[in-house]
Amino acid sequence: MKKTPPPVLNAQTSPIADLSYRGYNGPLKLHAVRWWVVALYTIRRARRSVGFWVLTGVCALSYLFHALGFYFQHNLSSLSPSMHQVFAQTLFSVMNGSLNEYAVMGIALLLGAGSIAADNRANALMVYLARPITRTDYLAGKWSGLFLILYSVIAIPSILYCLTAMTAFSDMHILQQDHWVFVHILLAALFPAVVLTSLILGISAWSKSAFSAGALFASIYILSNTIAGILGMVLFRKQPDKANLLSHCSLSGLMDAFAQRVFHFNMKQPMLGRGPFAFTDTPPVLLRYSLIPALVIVVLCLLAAHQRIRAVEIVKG
Amino acid sequence: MIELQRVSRWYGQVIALNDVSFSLQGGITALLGPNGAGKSSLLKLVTGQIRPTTGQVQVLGKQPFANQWVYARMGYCPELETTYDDLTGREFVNLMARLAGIRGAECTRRVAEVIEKVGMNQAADRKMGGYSKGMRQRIKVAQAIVHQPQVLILDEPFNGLDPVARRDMAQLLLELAGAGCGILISSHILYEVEHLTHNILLLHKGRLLAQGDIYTIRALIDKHPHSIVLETDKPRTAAQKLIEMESVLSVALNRQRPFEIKLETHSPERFYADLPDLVLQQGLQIQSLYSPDNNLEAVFNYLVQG
Amino acid sequence: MVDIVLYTSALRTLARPGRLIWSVLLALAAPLLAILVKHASSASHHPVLDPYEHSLHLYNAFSSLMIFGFVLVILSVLSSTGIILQEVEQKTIVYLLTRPVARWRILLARYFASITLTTAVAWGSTVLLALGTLGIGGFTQAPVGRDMGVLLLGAFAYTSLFLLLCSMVNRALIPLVAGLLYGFLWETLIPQLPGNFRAISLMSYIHVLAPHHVNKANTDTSGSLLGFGGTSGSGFHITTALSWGVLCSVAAGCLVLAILVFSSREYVGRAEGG
Repeated sequence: MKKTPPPVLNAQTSPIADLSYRGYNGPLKLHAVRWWVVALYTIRRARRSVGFWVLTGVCALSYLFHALGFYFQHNLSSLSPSMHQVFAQTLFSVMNGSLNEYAVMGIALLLGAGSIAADNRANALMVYLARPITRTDYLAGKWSGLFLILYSVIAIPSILYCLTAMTAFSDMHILQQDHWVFVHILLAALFPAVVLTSLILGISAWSKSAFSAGALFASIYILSNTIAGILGMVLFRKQPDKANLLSHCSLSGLMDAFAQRVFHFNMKQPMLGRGPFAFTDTPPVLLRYSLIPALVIVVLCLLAAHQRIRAVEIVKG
Repeated sequence: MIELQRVSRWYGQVIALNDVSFSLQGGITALLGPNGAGKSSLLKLVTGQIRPTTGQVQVLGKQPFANQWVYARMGYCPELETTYDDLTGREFVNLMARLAGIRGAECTRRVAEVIEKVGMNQAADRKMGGYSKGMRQRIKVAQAIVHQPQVLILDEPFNGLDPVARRDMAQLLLELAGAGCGILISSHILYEVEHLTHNILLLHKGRLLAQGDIYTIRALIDKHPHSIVLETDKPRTAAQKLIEMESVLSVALNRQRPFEIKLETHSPERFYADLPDLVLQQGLQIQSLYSPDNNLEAVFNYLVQG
Repeated sequence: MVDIVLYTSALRTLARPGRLIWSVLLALAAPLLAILVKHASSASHHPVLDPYEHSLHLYNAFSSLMIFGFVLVILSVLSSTGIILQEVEQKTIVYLLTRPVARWRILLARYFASITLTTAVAWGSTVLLALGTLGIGGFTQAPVGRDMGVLLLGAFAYTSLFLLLCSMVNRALIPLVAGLLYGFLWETLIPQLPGNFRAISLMSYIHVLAPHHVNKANTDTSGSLLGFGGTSGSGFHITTALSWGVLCSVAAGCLVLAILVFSSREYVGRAEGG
């Protein structure tokens, strides 16, 4: 195929070439993993946020709170096989208990709600996508940045808790009881981090402002928890199996179900009925009941976000 | 109208305004300065959105922060591009008029009047979410003048306007100033400002660098001689005679424009007084005569860049 | 006149079509779920409760957990946070603050608009829940009127509290997160703590004024576990009069403080341009 020569710029203006402008001819090395640049920027931004550190402090508080609780429980009761169940439940609480759960949700909201919405509003997407990165790189960068933050916030206190328990209560032989305890922690922390990151980014990409995205995310999260919680409680006395399943039909429920399955313990479920308000032990639900809905949420949210990320100018308002 | 006495404003460790004092009476005053000079901070102080860290700000004799009396007599057109997306232009101006205390039929009449004035009749009933930058700018000016303020503060009002709209806007501002409204206008577009006023406030790095009439300020800048360009039929003869004049420092001919002479003088008044005699003696035909650096941009550059 | 203009414009902002749809969905969530559970239960072959008791039980459960525990709190957080701070973030607050209107009037108009939306949705949800679970006669059988009154009082208290939070910062997401943590973490965890900790939870007082005894033997502290109106505790007893006093004081006190802060605070940041 015959190659056409490149057009000569400014040929008509002067016969003498103007060489005053030079293209950059220094070292130019494009990142092999271009999304990492965006991810790094997301992490750096989070580091400067006071709100993020406050909420991380709440997560640390959860770790201290539960570690102290376990210490008293361990010292007051003689070591029995049920202590291992207590340990698993406490480990689960460090990871998914109310304090940690809401703090992690807060971090996801604080860092993720404006993540794409604010870029879109400020027309920064045009600037991003004018660089040699694709929208997949952009989304992957945003996703992995937020994911790494959430994952660290969930996993690190749990690992610390486990290490504390291993060193302080060596008589419990935690590692002998569960050789894979650290792998289980890393695995259980993966689930909420992936689901929350995908959901908030999907919502952020379709929202006009960070506030709208945050409000919608919080509404979905808390509403689903409330509805599933009520249905579970109301139906528990009559249809415990269905109620157990229904009580996990929320974002928080899915995370609980997965963690329960990973750590293999029974959860206490509140129930309503004619008698006094009480708790009952519920076994873990099948893995597919938490994995499949989570997978659907993640895929839908990421597809929605990918669809929305475009280098178009947004008329501000 | 507007008076600042030794005003400083800090944002944490950053100083936005440093010991600024001035007093403005009526007419149009242009607030000039490069980016980061402190123009927007000054306008926020004058419009009572922020308080000075030290010193005193007075608008119409009162401090402006959260002062309804001042706001009833002041119109403000901010620089920001965001507006209320869900309102139409007319609804927005109407809301602002009602909040200024104008009611009923009078409100509707005034809203229609200012919308007409800013040339937004066609688009006034469309939602502002779909407005272009120029439309937003015009509707922002409309809301600022709807309550017929005594003082009008405009932050970059020419941003986003096309040349025709700029001309119309300038005309509107001149009309308002002619009717007695005091206007303080901040702008980067020196050419447009020059057509509006010769009265300037020049800020640089938070300090007030110059204040007053542009020509008086220019005359005081001795470091840079005044340039004058004249176009004549006999440039070489004219150049020969011009260099003999005491007031002229240098003369240069232009190869690209053979009939043009550029000269430099320390005393433009004396040069302009002597020039008619020279023209009559040599029988020169003067096609044009102008001073390229006796304008706002040149003064701005000389003062800011030194 | 100006107050009405401010109020209607605030209400219009709150009730934009997109937001209105969510508000309607929130209002419908509790009654629809209750109806669903009622029908699923009546179709069951092993009914445990008699129909009336079951319906009242459903009304109490959904009213307590869904309307008081969720709708009231989330709408108070979202509407009070959005009504001021969204304008601060978008910087359109400049237009309001440079009008000849006292700042306290701007805040008060927005406060009442926020309460209007919260109460309207919560009331709508309560009425529909009573109709859905107990039918037309539900208004005499269930304490619908009392619940609506307490919802209004709760809306005043929560909105004042969150408005105070909003008036102290310039970023919308921070009070949103703080409000959510308060409404759904603090208000759930604090009443569960031993001792008199429930005295620092607004929901404890609300549940004293509008107790929903979903369980027959629900007078001990276990009932307060999820905000079900447990009133007795170790030594500290929350009376109805005290609840009225606390909720009214919080509503008035926080509102006055919010007005003071809003009237004296700067809501524009450092200039970006010149």
